Amino acid sequence: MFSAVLTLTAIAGLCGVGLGAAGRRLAAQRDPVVGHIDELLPQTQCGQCGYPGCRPYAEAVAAGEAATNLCTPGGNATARAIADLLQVDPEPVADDNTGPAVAFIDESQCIGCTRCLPACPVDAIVGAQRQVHTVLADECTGCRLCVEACPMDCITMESVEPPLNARIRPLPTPQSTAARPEQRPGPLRHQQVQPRRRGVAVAGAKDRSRSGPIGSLALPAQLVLPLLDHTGAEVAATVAVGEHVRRGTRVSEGRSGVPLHAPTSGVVSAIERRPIVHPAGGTAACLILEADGADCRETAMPPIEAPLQAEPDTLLRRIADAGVRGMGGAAFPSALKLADAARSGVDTLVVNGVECDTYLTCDESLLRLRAEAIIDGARIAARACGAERILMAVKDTAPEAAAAAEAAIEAAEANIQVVRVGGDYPAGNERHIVYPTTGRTVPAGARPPAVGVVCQNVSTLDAIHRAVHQGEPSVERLVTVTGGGIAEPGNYWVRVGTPLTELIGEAGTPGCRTIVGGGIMGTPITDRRVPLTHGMNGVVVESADEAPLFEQPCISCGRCAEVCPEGLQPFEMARRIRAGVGVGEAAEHIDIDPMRCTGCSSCELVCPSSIPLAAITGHARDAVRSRMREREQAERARQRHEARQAREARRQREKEEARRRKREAMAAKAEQNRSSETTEG
Amino acid sequence: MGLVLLALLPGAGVMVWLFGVGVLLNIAAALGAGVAAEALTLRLRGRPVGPALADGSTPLAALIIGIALPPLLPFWIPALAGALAVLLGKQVYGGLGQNIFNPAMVGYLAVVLAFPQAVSLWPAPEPALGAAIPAAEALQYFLTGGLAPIADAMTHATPLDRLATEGFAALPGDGGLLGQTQAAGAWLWLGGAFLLGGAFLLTLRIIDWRLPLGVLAGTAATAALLQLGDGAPVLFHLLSGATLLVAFFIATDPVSAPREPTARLIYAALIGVVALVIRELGGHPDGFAFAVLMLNATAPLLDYVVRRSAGEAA
Repeated sequence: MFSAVLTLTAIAGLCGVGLGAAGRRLAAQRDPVVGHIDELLPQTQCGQCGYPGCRPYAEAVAAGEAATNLCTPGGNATARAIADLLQVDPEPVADDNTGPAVAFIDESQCIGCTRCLPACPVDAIVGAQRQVHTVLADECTGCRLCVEACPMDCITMESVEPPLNARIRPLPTPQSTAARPEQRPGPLRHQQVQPRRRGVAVAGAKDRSRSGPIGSLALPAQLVLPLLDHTGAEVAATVAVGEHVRRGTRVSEGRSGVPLHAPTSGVVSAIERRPIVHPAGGTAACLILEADGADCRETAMPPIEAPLQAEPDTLLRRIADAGVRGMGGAAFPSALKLADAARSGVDTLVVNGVECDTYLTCDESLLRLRAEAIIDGARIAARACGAERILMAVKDTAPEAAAAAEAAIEAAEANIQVVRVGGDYPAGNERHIVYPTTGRTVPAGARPPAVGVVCQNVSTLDAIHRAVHQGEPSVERLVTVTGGGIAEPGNYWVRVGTPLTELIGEAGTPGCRTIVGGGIMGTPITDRRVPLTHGMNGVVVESADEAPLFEQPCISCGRCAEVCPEGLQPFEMARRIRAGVGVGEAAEHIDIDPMRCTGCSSCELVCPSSIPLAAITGHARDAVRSRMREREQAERARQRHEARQAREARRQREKEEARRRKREAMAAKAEQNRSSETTEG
Repeated sequence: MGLVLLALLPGAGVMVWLFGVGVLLNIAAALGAGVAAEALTLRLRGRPVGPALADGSTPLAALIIGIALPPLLPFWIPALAGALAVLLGKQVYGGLGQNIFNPAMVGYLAVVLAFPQAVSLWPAPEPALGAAIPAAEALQYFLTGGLAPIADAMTHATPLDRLATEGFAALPGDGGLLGQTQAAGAWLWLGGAFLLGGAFLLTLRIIDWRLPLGVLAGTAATAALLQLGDGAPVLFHLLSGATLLVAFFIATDPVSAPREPTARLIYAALIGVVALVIRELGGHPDGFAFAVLMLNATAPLLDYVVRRSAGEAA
């Protein structure tokens, strides 16, 4: 009895000591949420929120006492970031409907007084006395200091949309996806999905459009060409409003020497902002073309004779001039990709005919239709990038396409090997097709040229064939139009720039989504007037039984980690991102690094709780990119500011120097005068 | 969750066949109390009630509790187990997906520790027993807790109970595989039913094969080791008590198990080891519930260790 009491007392004492030590050592610091909110605030300490500084406001928000939308300098972006962090619905800031802004000078009122020039801390205003001034929009930091300096009140702040590569797609929450199901990101609900290690077996979804018609769409009355390059930056148009263009006329020189062409003949009626397809939505500057229906062609570029003996540079130049862009989805200029491959010394060209995203059959149909052209395009591309070996990857579930390719290879007597790869998703991803075809493994975070391989999509190779043999610029593509909401699914030849309303009209049920791209990786759109671009391989209109289910809590089943082709831990990433841990920063571990996610959505396909994992990770990825861009901009602003300070200091020094010299000269002169006076005297 | 419920139905059916309507009454009480507790806490937490009730996790916990508890109990014991499973096992951590411990095991153990006498008495499993204990009498006992004489006469300690207190030699029969005891056939039926459900879940890839395999391997290995002393045979341990139920339906709960494949194997094997040590060397008749909760607590640690050693190797 006594010993038992003693033992228990000893155990209790030990436990007490342990608890005490743990309490000391592992004591929770201040509420970490406060710190996260404080980091989101602009640190102007302006007090406009009603609290004596940013930190006190952060504490009030964390305690639930203050609304998330009181920070005026931070504007809607900050309010949204705080709402994201706390997982509440964002509310707009009262007097901010602008977001980022740059100064704009009304040239009809500017008198050329130069007073705004010294007010700008980053030298972003150029002008001279009595000359109209202007703002370098790329360098303007939106600080508003010039607005005060202008005596004519002709400077206003104009809101600008961030460029596409700096837009952050919203973080989906159970509330937001339930409130707006038609904008919910993520794959359609597939009926036959089997998780595999590092992939997913999906069946059935392609059958809808596979046996459908292959037609061409009538020319629309109006076409919309986004003036964007592959990085998402805007490019200038080289034609003016009112100008008449023909099919194939260059309407923009683009960047890196890859121009944009008019898809048909007609008159440029406007250059204005129109909605485009992007996970974060928004608009971009677009060239509006009123078609005249005649579709007359610009003088074609001369065909290149015997292209397989031509200089690689000649071929690359032609591929660039024809504006050929990757048609597998990324729309990356093919000439740049092939030139980069040539520089890395690739030895193998892989023709990507796998088309692993569900619902899509345009590549497969093109292989059946134009296998000869594709084979020829592949040989041209191999010549252009210096690859000696050509392998053609075809899905083993598309035997007809493989047979067509083999027949064409035989007819052309080309040394091309057809490799049938397994049908698991995402086999067609550029990074994942290299191993089954060549046996080489692309390292994490690298692209195929790192192991001597370059991939080209079959549609792209068809466009290359046309550019080289017919001198035709790339202005149309085969598009899959499918989904439960489409009465007659099939593949259609469509001009680039065609608004999607021409393609799908009003088809589909309200509340269900319209998706651009495939059934897994596609992007939902809410405005059907968005134009078709080179990278759009499909338009899917879903029916109610293809719509994703409502989100349930994560039960940590780990299936997402099992299927992730990149070996990531999607549920762990989603948990952290939704808790606001490390969003926009470098990842702590390699298996929770959102930058390594390719966005393939395999995790989401197999998630039993229908959690929008890919969009959550995508949000974090966008945040990292945006943060990097902000840092670059801040660095540039700092450099410009320092350069300006250095210049002013130099000017000051020179002025003083001049003054000193003048004083010395005058003193010398006075001395001279005095001495001459004395000699005279 | 729905499919797991479906897979557990054969086992539950055999239980009813062996032990009568008492099992159904237990399940009903646990389910009713669990759903009520869940609805109440969700309201208090200001969360939508509907989706959480529809996810099937509370019915699953109630079903497991109903199977794990003896069939003749006053209603408050299974009801308390169901409510505590939801409250202490799940909602205090923030609901489904956040819980550290397996909710059903939390509820079950709470009543095992609170009413040790009542929950250790099992009727002898006999197919004819359903008739032997009239449903009306079972219901009366269930509602009032008044121990009807006939029920008292029918219940006795389980083989595992006697194993814990008196050693294996005291078991009826000649010690083979429960071999000649009258009950052996019945236990085999039950084990077969759990195995069937488990195989169903494995073929649909609902559960990770590592977890049941680990539990069975851990149990078998420890039993083999203990047999060097005076332990019971391996097959006895594999087929008796909660071994198969735990292997296929409890250890496989993804929320409270580790995430890393290697950590899962270690976790499952250790459940078997700890349960057997408690069975053979400890004072409690069956150690699986304790073993599951202990290993639940170590799951994050196992993940951490496995990830770190993988990181070092890489």
